[in-house]
Amino acid sequence: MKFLDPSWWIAAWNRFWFARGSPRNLAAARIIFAAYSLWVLLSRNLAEMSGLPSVFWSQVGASARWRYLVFPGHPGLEHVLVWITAIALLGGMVGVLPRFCCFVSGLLLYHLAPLESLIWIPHPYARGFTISVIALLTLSFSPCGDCWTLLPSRRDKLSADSSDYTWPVRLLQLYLVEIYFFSGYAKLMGVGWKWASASNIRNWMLWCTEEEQIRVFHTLGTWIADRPFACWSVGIGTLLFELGLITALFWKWPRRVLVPLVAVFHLGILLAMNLVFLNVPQLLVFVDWDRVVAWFKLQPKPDSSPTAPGVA
Amino acid sequence: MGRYNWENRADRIGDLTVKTNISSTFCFLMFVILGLRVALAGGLRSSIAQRRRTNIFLCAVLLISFGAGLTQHNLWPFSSWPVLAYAVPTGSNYPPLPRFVGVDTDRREYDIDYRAWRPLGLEELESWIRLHLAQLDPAARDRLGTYLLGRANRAREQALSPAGLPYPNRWFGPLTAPTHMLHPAIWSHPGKVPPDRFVGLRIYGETWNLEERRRDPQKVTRVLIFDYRQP
Repeated sequence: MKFLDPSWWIAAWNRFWFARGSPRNLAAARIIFAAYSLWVLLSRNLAEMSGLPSVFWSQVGASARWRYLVFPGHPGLEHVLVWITAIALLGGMVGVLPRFCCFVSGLLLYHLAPLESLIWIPHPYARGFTISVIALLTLSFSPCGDCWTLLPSRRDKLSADSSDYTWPVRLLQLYLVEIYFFSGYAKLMGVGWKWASASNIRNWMLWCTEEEQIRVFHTLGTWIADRPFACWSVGIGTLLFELGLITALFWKWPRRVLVPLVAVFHLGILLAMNLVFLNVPQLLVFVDWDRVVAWFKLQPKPDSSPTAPGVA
Repeated sequence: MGRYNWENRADRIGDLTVKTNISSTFCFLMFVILGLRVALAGGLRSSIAQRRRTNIFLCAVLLISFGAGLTQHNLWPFSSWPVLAYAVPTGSNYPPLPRFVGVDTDRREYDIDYRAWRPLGLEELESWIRLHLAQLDPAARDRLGTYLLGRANRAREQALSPAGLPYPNRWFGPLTAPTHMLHPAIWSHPGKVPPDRFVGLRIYGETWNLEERRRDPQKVTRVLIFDYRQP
């Protein structure tokens, strides 16, 4: 009956968010998210979207424009903002005013990311920046510049081990796990358990391999579509995997097994359905960077606290 | 076109969008303000006060992110992640998928490489066409046609040049981050690029029955939804 005792919940809360943590894991998260965001930002022509003919923007309502402060027709200004964002992300990566850089880049990406899809939809999820925006801002609110910086921060000598380093990494891990959990939940809410049926999976595979405008790979998709058992396996496996990944936040073995499987999961989706999920590199926030550093014998013995985040 | 009411869909989405935009902005502002309070808590002497601010921030983030996910209201950047969360119909009763073709002086039609539409992604352009094309007046349709035809011809010329169609980022080259959906680069080789300039652009709405097309890939219903000729 310990679950009925509020003190048990308070202790569990503190154990989860405020366990002793490592500044390296937080610094690694900063580098991972900044590098990833820079890669996606420089792979898009977001500023030029502002210069599209007015016919494209004519259907975008005032509430959407004000929400993101997007006022089309100023590609020059957007180019400047893209470059400021890129410089800030670079600063976040190498550790020059890292918290300030993460804050600036997070806010600017909140403005820039919707440019990609705002002409028809106001929420650009699954296009690469959704997690980046909240992750970079979360990093800016935390002492992410206490380690692996080009310019050492004021706090560098203050806290070698602190619970301040744990909650931000936990939060970043939560953001990533929510993708899968809500994706599974949305399937159950929208379609129900029938989503995992062989007929639905077959239809998905056929659609993704028959639609010529996205048909790059087709062998795996049609192979699965022709085998009911494979379709059932993909359907049930997907739901179990998506709903089960949240356990990686709490226990070590799911973290060790399921997190690497995410990469395999997305490789399968890519080859079977021609859909890319860019966020995969962000899963490196589940790695225990103290152990990696120790493995390379760059540092003394790592923190092996069982409650520290990122113990993979 | 008759199978799907495009305008009703656009109106329905428009109504929802205003409420979603307001609530999403509020949630994002709360996230930033409460986060800044945590960031500035380092100046507080009391560690209890610091911890309290962090706890409030964490509770707010949990509330917003789980609120978005569990209610399936997309409060971007707190997304509800409805990835592939629908059933695919076997039949052809779904909004037609736009397909863009260029027309040359001999009235021959050619598919257009997805890279021609940059900075627009093909999936963004297709979705915009599905949602808004029917609402455009003739003058707006002309402006749209002029723009798309210009992009298609420019891309055709680039594809025929020795350098080919460029990547969005010349430094990343093939390591450029792809879009969510892959698209075949049909103009990767000059031999596959239409030799003559386009003088018109058409958009077809395509539907098909999955099982019928599995047996016969050509079994597609095409309806012309946009036909633009260069004046």
